[in-house]
Amino acid sequence: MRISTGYQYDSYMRDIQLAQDNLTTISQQLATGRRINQPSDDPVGVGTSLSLRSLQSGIQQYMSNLNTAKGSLGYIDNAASSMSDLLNQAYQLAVQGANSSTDQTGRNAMVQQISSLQNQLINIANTQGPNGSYIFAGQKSTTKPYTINAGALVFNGDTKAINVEVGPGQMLQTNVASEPTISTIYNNLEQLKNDLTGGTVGAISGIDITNIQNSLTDISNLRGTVGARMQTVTSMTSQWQIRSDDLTKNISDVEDVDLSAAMVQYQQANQAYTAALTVAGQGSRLSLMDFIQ
Amino acid sequence: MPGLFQGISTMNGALRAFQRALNVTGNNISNVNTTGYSRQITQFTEANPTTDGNVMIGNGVSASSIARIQDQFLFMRQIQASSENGRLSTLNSGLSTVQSVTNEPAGSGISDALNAFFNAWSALGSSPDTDALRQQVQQTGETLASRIRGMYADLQSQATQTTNQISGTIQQAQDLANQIASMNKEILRQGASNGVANDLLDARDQAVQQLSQIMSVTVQQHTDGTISLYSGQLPLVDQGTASTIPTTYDATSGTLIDGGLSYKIGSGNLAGQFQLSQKIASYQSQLDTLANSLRTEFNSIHATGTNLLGATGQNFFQDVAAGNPQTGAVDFQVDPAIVADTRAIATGVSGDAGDGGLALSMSALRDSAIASLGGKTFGAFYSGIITGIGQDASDAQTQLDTSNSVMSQIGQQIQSVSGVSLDEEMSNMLRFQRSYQAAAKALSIFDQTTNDLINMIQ
Repeated sequence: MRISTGYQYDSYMRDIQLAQDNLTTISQQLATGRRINQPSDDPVGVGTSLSLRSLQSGIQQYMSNLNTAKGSLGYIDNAASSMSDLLNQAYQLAVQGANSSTDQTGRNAMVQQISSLQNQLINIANTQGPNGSYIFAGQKSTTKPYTINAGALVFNGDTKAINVEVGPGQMLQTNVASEPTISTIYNNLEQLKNDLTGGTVGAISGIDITNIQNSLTDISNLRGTVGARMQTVTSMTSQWQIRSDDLTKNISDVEDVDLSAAMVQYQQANQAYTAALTVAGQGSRLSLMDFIQ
Repeated sequence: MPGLFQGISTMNGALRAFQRALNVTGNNISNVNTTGYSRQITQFTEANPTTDGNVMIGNGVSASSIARIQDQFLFMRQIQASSENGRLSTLNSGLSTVQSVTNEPAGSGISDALNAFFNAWSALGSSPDTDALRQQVQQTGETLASRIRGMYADLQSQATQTTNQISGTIQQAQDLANQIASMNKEILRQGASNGVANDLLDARDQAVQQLSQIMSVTVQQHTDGTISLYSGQLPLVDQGTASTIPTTYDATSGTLIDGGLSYKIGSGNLAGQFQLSQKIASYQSQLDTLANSLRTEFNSIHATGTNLLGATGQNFFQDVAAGNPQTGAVDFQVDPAIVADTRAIATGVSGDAGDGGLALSMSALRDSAIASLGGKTFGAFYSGIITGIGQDASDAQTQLDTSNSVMSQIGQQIQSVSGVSLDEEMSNMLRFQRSYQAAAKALSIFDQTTNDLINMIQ
């Protein structure tokens, strides 16, 4: 084949440019650590990467929702625990009140204590969560759920569920239906007050103590429910964490450069570039002109 | 009968011929870097002999012509390949701009905004009475809408730019056709008086090659040295006359339209620009579908709710009245009522502060198959758009790489035939120099002989 001077220099130039292009591409991948910098680098990989990222972003949100749920459930558990304490105090008082050695003066003093417990109960029932919402108001969470009207307890909330999204199509209830539990406790305490005032020892030991025991069971059941949900929160959070870590790895597999392979490629590209430069530098030195005097 | 001075006259002719050959070699060396230059060689022929009785005596040499070394077949292949190359390089550079406006995979693209928007609904649904989360829904909604609008607008400005380029390209083709026609006239004029006009032929080939980058060109050679050009059925140049190239076109079908006639432009920059317009229009229409589906799906849930202002029927994304055609991505935005006041966001049917049912339903749209998106989820539909853009750009790149190597292969072959080799020219230089020296020596010997004869008479 006849080689023209233009061809000779063009091919030096082309070889150098090709080697330079390869070197630049691989250097870029090494420097950024990313294999895909634009959709055309790997169209299918980009699609995969986008859906993996979307999955992971959803999971982060589910974990954040689980954290919200943990907070709400914690508030409920605290409140329920306080109610238990309060009921235990009422139980002690009822047992004392039912004791025949207690005189009416003593019972009247107990009535005061029970009234104070009722006020505590209303305070607990109106507990506000971290964002100021009432935890026992159902969905009417900005309405103060328990008020006293003409000496009777009125419930202004509802018993509807508040759910958080903890997975695709998966909901977890973060509140509890406070009714009729709380009103029952209040009314039972009211009954106890009346019986203490009237000194009807039989009713106190017969009905009131049983009522308080029943309410303690209700609260205990409620705490059981909340506790079970707390466990769900913990286990789901760790499941999602594992899934999210897996996804991080998957995303990296799709998007990132395999560093060891890239280093080898970099060495190769570097050598090819050096070779192209050497050939151009040495080869073009030769000319017939060097041999003409 | 040959005279006394015939030798001098013969050597004179030889000196002239070698002088000319040296000039041609010098011209070749001078043009070693000239694009489109075809090397030239001096063609020597024997001069007509003189008859002396029954003996024929040679009269030396004459440089009868200067030939331009060119392979017409390679040239045809080159212009064919350069049309395809023109189409692909236009398409490739356009599509690589398009994919940069997507800001994907890891930039601040629509995908991120979509995820954040769904997350905001999920958070609000899970904690409906938190004001900060309402603001988050409003803000992520606005970000999503503005990114969709932004990408659409970027595509639109690319489409406009392409449209402007099309007019410019047609004008460029017209200019080249005019140039070629006038060069045809000049070639005809010079050819008639003065042999072959090598430099004009090179210049015309260059112009034809430039024209072939714009649209496919077929060349018809005429015996008088002129050419006629066609692009498919479209006449471009008929010898000394350039046709008027139609300036109306239809990018969708990729045709130039001249009254009732339409001419398909299958390759060249122009075809690339037509195809780019088409691609951009299809990406835009996919964004329209995405925006309209977001409107329909979110509004149909959101409007059933009661917001904190006590109103029902509130749209989340601004939309036209039912039954009218939706407006697509161009004016896609969060409803002004929601932008003005986050209390306009409805999270539940009841309107109670703690009712997050509808917000959770909207969050669940993340994983819902949407009929108007061909049964895909929003995320999958969008990543389909990006994969499509990436695939188109990658295809164009691959095809361009192939076309570039075809071009460079043909270029090498042409260089091999027509390119100047300095070593070859130097060796020719030596040859003609030596020949010139020999002819000069011979001339001086003839001169000496004549001198001797004249001196005899003294």
